[in-house]
Amino acid sequence: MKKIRTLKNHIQTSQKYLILTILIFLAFFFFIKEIYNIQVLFSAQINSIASLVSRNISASLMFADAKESKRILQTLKDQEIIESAYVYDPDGHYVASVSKYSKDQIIKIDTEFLKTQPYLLVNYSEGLVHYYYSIKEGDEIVGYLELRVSIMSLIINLLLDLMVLIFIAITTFYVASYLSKKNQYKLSAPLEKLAIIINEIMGKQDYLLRVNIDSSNEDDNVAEIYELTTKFNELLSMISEREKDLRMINEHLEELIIKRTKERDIEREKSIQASKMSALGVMSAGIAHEINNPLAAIKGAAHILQKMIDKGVVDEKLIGKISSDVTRLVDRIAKIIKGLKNVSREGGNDPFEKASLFAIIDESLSFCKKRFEHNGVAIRTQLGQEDITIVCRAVQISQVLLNLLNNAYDAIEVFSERWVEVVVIKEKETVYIKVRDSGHGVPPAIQEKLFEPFFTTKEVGKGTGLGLSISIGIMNAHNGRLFVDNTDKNTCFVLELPIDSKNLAEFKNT
Amino acid sequence: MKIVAYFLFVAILAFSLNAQENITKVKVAFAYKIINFIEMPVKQGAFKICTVGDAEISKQMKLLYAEKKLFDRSIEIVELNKISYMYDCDLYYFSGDSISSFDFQKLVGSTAIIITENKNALTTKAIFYFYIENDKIHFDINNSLAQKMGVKINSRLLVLAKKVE
Repeated sequence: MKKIRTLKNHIQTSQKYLILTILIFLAFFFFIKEIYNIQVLFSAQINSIASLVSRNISASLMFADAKESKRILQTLKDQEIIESAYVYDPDGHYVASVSKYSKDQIIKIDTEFLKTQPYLLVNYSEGLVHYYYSIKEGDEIVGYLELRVSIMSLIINLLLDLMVLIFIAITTFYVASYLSKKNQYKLSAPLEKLAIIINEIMGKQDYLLRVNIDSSNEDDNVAEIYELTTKFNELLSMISEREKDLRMINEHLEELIIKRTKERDIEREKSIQASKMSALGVMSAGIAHEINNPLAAIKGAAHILQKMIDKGVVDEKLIGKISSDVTRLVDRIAKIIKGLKNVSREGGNDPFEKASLFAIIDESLSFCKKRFEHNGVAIRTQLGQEDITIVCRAVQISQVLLNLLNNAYDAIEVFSERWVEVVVIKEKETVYIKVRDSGHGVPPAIQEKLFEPFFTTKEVGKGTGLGLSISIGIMNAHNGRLFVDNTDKNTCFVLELPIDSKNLAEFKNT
Repeated sequence: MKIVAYFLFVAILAFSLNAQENITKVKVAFAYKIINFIEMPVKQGAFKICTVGDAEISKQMKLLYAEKKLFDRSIEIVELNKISYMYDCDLYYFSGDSISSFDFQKLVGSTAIIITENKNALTTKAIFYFYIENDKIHFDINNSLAQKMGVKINSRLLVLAKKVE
């Protein structure tokens, strides 16, 4: 994880770099300048000594007085920087010398190079600097002077200067660092105070807290910091105002959401009811036929009974049969009416109960059987041998099935081959109820929107567009699924329901 | 100047070959160098050097001083047999003991450099005394007489010589 550096660190580091850079530059500059100064001063000192000696010694050289020359050279012994001194005649022959350490004597020097550069020639050897001067009397060269200076004295001088420079640089660096640290505290202290307040605000969610600006405190009197804290306090005031507004809006919004949710639920229930009524309306002809047939049979039975009364003949056996038939027919009508009541009921508040799947399918088919048959639509079923018990709201499952059957009827109206098939397949703990028809499947573009509310492919006034969206809601409530089986060559809608729904029933009912 | 140095060098070299001749040459060279360390009142005309005694001196002077100048003046060498005839010289060179017959009183009031080889004459009649010691030429100076004669000797020259009052 990358370490986050504090502002204090940044300021300190950048100031240290700045100071260090300036110091290095200054130290380098002064050191170079010092080298130059030392060289100039040294040369000037040597030149003045040489000039003085030359002036004094010229006469003795002119008169070949080696003794006097030596005596004059002796005066150089007091000069600390001079290691040894030599004088030569105009031809470069040795005349006299003085030396602090070495006793060597040079018999002759090459004066040619001294003639081309008559005043000064520096030669480095054995750690000594050799200065050569021509000694003149008027325009005439009367001899040469050689001064030997230890290079060590130069180096020692430079080292001493360097040490002083380093000492000054280190002292300056620490003093500057101390001052910068003291100064940056003025900047970082109020910022740290600000950070503490922000943390406190974030922790307590209390936007009424404020950063205290103490005008008597020197640290708080930095203009930018003062402005920052003032603006921060203003921001906090704005946030607290906004928060108050938001709270009010929230409260209002909650009320609005509850109201709108209620309205939506009512609308939804109305839609479901309308959808059911629409389905019932579609099936009404078949239902009427279902009721009319037993009613006609009852009427026929009543007519037979009336004839028997008119003739005064009582055929007990026939009366018993008629009575039995009428009872059966009335039961049948009662069953249809009960089924209608069930379908027309909302059913959303019914408890989850064990129900026979075959009974649900049979009841659903009974509503549309006559209509299908009357219009040449064959109804086929493959329900299997054993009935399957499922935990569900039977009314809702029946409603889904009726919806799918009606859709199938409408979809295949245009085909010459028209059939609808209900197939039940049990797989372990799941049951699949397939509603197939003689159609050729649902196009992919339509499948995407099929389960959206108010989407319909039916002509205007024939469908509400709510059937499948309501059905999918019902299946979700049953932990089941409703989907199109695209592997089927015909149109096939599949209801998937769990069989072992004991836990589901307990859960849903609680 | 280089030629003087050359002559000086030649004189020293010749010393080993011909001691007398070389000594004379060195004396002549010394006389020339000494004048370089002396200040005298400005005069017009040639710088007149009068020699008395050894003819070799004037001969060597003529050789060594040829084409040379002193105080920006050309040099004229005059060999005197009798000193009484000439009293307007700028330099008198008395070789050997020739100074003994010289009447110094006749020079009082004039400015001149007087060189002698007679030690006794230094205190009364000469400013410079040339002598040989350890095969080298040395010179003594009578500075008080030099001052009387209007000759100012450079201190650096005084350092090199024995001074006689």
